[in-house]
Amino acid sequence: MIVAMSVITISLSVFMHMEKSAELRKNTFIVLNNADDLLSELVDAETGQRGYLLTDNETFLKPYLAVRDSISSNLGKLRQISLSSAANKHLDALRPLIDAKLAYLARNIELYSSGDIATALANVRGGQDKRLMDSIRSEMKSFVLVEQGALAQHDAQFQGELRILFIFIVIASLLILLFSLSFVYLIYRETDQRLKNLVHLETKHLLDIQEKTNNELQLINTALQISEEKFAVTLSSIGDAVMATDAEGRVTFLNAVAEKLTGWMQAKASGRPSDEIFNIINEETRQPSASPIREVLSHGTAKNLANHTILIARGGGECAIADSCAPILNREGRVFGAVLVFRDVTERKAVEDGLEKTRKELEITKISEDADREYAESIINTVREPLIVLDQDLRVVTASRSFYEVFKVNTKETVGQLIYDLGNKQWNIPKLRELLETILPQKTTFDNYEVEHDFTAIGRRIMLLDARQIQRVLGKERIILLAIEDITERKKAEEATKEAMESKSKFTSMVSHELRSPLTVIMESINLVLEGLVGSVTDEQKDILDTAKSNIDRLGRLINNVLDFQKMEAGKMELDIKEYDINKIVLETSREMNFLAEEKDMSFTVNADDSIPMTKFDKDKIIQVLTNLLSNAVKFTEKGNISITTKNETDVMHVMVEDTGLGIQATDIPKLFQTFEQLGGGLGKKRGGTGLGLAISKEIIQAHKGNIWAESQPGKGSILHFTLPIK
Amino acid sequence: MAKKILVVDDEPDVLKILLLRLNKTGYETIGARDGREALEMARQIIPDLIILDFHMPDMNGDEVARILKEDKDLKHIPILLISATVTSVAQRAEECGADGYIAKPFQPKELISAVKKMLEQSESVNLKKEMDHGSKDSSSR
Repeated sequence: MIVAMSVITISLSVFMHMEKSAELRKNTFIVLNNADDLLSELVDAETGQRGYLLTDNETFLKPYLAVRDSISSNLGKLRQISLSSAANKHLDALRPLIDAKLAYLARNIELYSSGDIATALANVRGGQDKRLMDSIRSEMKSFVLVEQGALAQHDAQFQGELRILFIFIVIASLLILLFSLSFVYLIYRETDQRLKNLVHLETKHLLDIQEKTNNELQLINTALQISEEKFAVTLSSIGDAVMATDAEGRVTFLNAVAEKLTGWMQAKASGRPSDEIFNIINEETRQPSASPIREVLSHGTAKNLANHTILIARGGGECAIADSCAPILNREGRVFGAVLVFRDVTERKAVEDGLEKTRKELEITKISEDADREYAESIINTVREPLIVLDQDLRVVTASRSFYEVFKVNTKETVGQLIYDLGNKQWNIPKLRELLETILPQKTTFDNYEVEHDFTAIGRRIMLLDARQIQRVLGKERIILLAIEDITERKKAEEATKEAMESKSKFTSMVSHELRSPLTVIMESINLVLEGLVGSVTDEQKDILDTAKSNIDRLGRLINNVLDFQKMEAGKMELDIKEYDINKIVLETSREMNFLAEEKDMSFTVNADDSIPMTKFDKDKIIQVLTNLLSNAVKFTEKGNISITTKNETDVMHVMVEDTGLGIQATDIPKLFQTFEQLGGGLGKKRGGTGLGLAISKEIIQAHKGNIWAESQPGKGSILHFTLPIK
Repeated sequence: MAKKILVVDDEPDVLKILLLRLNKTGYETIGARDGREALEMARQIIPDLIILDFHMPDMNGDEVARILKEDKDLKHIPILLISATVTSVAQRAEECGADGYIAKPFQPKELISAVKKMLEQSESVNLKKEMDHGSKDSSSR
């Protein structure tokens, strides 16, 4: 494209250049022409003047008059179109000469017309005008020479340009040719590559097919080989003698038994006529019998030989044989060989002996089978669970003693019966049918299948069935073992327990609620008296009432704890989970509990870790835990300090309540969180504990998926820890 | 003028000590033994606070509370529900529209502070209402 564009551009510019040169040439020609015309006009004018002088005919003056009028403009024109300055110099030189010539001509004409003919003629003869004319000619010639030089130059230029154009066209043509050639070459290469690819693909495809075919062939060969091997093994391992021949009755194959009976080895016999190898005579007449092979080959049908035939072996030995012969047919049904199968019937007796032996062996086996059965049955009977064995038609093979005992059936009406028919078709239970007919065929083992059924003899029973399907080693027979557990009693007991638990919890709940009202009344009454609202109280009275009051408080807490704990035991603890700041809650709780500590002249110190984020928990429950831990700490500490520390441990927040109290023996620590467990010989009771606080706390913390534990040194104090997950 | 408190409890002993405690604290008290009597007296005297026991024969505390809260003349009276059922008392109080609750057994301090708080609240609510009402009246004029 670029090449084409540049070719066109350059050609155009060269053409324009050439046009300019041509124009210049044309111009020069015109100049030369005009110069020529000018000169001849001048000559004509002079000749005319002479003619006028000689003839006095004024018509001769015409050329002179024309020149006189036009010469100036013609000279101007010539000067205008002549471009070279050298030429113009000549033209400038010409003008005065021409003017002088014309002036001279005019004077002569005037002299003549005025009658001074002699002077005019003398002037003509004087040769002045000739000299003028020669000067004009010579100037004109110079001018023409200059112009001709310019013309030659322009010609040369034009020629040069033509050459350049030619060379350029040649080069451009060569370039285009080259380009075309390379383009053609590229297309050729592309096509060639494509063709090659196609050929490659096609070849590959063909190779693939060939390889596939090869593989298939190999497979077929392998199969064929295997089949041949199998065939050879079969032939050599069967008890009968086998002999094969080709269509002409020549031996092609002898198996081991045939070799033994005929006395010929396959290698030797191969290719010999079959009659030679299979030499038979009639048992009674001892005359040679007709070979069945010939007959089979000619008729193409199978033939059984009469029994009374004796085969004479190569070594002369004889044996009675029974045989049969069949043709080998090809696909078109043409006979291309025969196969002869024969056996030594003299061995029949030995076989019969063998049979007898086998029978005896079988009897022994049967005895051992019976022993096995007895063994199995004794196992079945030892099992306390009712056990029943079924065959694959779901008929009872055997049942354990306990089965008969539990289900009140006897052996006679059980063994051999269809399971559903047992006990007057009592066992026709839909769920049992489902287990035996639907589930077991898919799963050979199925346990804890619950069936409930109302039996006439023994009443409503709930049973758990374990079923096993066992494939017998021999044959396709399957047997099914069905273990039956009577769980009726157990179920009853479980239900009773559940009911008892429920009624117990109901009872506890009711009692606890009922206790609350009188408790409130007693407490309030004491309070009213103690506060002196109903009259003044003596110090002694006050002391007694205080004792009553603290015990009532304890009773109230106990009731609350019992209720809480019972709810937890029943798994009814509902958590009201929201996001809280544990430090705030610790501070609030310690502040509210402070009166307890103050009673013993102690105080709570809180070390809060501010980096603990807002955490999700049940505020009231955690306050309950904190209250328990703080009141315990106060309870078991006589003097010192109780500190509460919180710590951010990334995944969990950790709260510790540390006291300087009695401490706990290491062995007692695990008991700490158990129900109604109070340590220190009832010290806790003395101090107003319920024995439920820590157990409840543990339940609460565990419900939050946290941990609670204690560490302690007797005499030095204890630390109770709990953690809550931070999410 | 002392605030009037209506106390409703079917158990005479509980009623007695409640009345005594409130009386000694400086409130004017009226007792009722069951729901029907409570409703009757409430309409009659329009108390400043009603303390209701939850468990009562014939008509439970929450039923009484519901009726009170549906009565346009009585619904402004705050109700304090008392129950021995610790767990669900909060939920029950909310369901029947009671303004507060307290669980048995309770400390006198608890009762008195609850009563005080509720009375103050209702007073400020009523005051605000009156003021709103007053400002509305003045603006309409």
